[in-house]
Amino acid sequence: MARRIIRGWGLVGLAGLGLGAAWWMTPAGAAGESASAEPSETASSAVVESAHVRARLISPQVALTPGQSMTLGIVLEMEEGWHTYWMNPGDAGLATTVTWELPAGYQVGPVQWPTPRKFGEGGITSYGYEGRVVLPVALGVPAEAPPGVVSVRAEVKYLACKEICVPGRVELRLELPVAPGPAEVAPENQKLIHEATERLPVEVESPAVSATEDGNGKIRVELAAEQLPAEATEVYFFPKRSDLLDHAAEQVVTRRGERIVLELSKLAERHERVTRLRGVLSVTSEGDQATPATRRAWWVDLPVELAMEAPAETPTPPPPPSPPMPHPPEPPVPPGPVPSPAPAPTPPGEPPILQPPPAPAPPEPPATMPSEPPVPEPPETPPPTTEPWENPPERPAEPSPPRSNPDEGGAD
Amino acid sequence: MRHVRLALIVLLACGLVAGYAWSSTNAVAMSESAATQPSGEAPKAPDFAVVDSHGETHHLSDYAGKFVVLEWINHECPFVRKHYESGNMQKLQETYTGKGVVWLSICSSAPGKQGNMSAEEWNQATAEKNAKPTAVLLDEDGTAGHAYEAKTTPHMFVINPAGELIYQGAIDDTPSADKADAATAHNYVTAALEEAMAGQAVTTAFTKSYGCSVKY
Repeated sequence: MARRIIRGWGLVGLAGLGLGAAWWMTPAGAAGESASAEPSETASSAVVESAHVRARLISPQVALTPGQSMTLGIVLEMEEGWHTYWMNPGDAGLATTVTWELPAGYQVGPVQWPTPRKFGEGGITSYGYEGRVVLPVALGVPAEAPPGVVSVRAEVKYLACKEICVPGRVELRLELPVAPGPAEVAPENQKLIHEATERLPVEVESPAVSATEDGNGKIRVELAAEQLPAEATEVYFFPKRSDLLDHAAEQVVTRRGERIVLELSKLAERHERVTRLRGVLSVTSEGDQATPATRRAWWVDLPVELAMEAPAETPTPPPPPSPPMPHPPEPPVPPGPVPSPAPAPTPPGEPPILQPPPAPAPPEPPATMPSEPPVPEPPETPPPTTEPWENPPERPAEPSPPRSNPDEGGAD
Repeated sequence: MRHVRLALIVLLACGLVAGYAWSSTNAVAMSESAATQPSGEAPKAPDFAVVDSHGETHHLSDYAGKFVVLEWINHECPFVRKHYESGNMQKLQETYTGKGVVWLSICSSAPGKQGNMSAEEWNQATAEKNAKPTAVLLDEDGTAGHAYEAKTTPHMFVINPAGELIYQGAIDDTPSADKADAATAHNYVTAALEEAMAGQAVTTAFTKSYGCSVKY
């Protein structure tokens, strides 16, 4: 396994993701992958194998308590070299889906996704999990749940890929007694689920402060440097949507004073403006012999503003890579600054990827950056909440209201 | 009624512990799109020169004046199998080659990579599956694949008689490997061809494709 990971990630590094290969070689910080564990004897469904994946549904306790909300875990253990996918699978692949069948009155929340890994070969980048992943799912037990044994069933569909892809489908059935009073803990399961929830991107205090789009297909996310770990070696943004960004494009990190700027590339085919950027910002700190590598991740949800263009200094900016053809002005622009048709490209002299640079004097921002007040604004993410993995408030652009999410059970 | 209220409460409670990730499916994530409008103009489709399974070289420019469909293919990929085992792909090929469309199935699996097959094996597979493309192109060095940035199998491209790329992306709007979905999905290739043949603008010019990665 280790050898394969190193090889695979080495290729990614070569492909120009170039933020230091260390992250890719460290098994730590990944989403729950490790050697396969013994399946729990209690509070677990049977282990079901399909398409190079062993799956089971686990509960942190041996019984359900009426009126209680708890977190179950869907455990997927991939054979060596195989992987399954994140909610945005990237360029290829397919997200894992879960369909529930629940006793009357029971409810489940959506699948929660630990921060994924990046897989890449041949210019194709995917996001997913290798080894083992535990997907936490909240279960609500109705207050009037009658005593007796209930069955919680999950049909899990996934795509497992190594060199070839194989679709997997398993039916997991977890049977648990309902009993009043505090239930006995299933320690192994509780640990697995706890570890998985620890690896979920957190909803609050994202270092991402603002995002701007220029007229050149770049989206720049400003990160507050003081909120990033000083020893960060790798910054990566996993977009929630699969059709916004060029997944395989290098994400360039530069430092500008108190801010670190992460430059993302829009898909070349996406001509319309991106107005909102959602996804997971992952920051990895390289470990050493004494301390393992650590990884922190946050959900980011930012409006994307148009960058105000300073007058271009170069009289003839290089033409876009695509064949020359008249481009109309970017469609619907909200009131405000209008993009100049030919913004200056990123200055060639700027050294990319300094993470974190000890350099005292940062280079001057390029002409494309908007002038920002020096004080970091609070991110326009959900209002602060106390639980690290709470839900953000409902976001209007979401097509599915929370109560009709596709994972919801079919209980009558 | 009490059940409903309770369900709401429970749901709220669940919401508190549930993550940000409302949608567990790629389909939902994709439909979140604010506005997938074409830019109003289609890019020029890159030309290529690729040998087919009968040893003949095809240039895109050979087909100026015709509609051309490019279909990236890999018969072992479950998403490709979905569309062949359901008969969906053959039906599209038959329907549109019957209307004068040039349909090129392209395999960009490099030698030694998964999905790479000899010309003979391709001819056999095409016959066995009763596939009806105009030709199967063996893009072993990936030049055509890279020119179009083909990422998945299947990955579909529709080119109009003026040589413009009027559609690129998924074959349909249901990313799954389930054969049954092929019949009920909205097929983007059909939509683009029908609209363009009727002289209309193509409503959806770009989608994110789904499938296995191309094995360059």
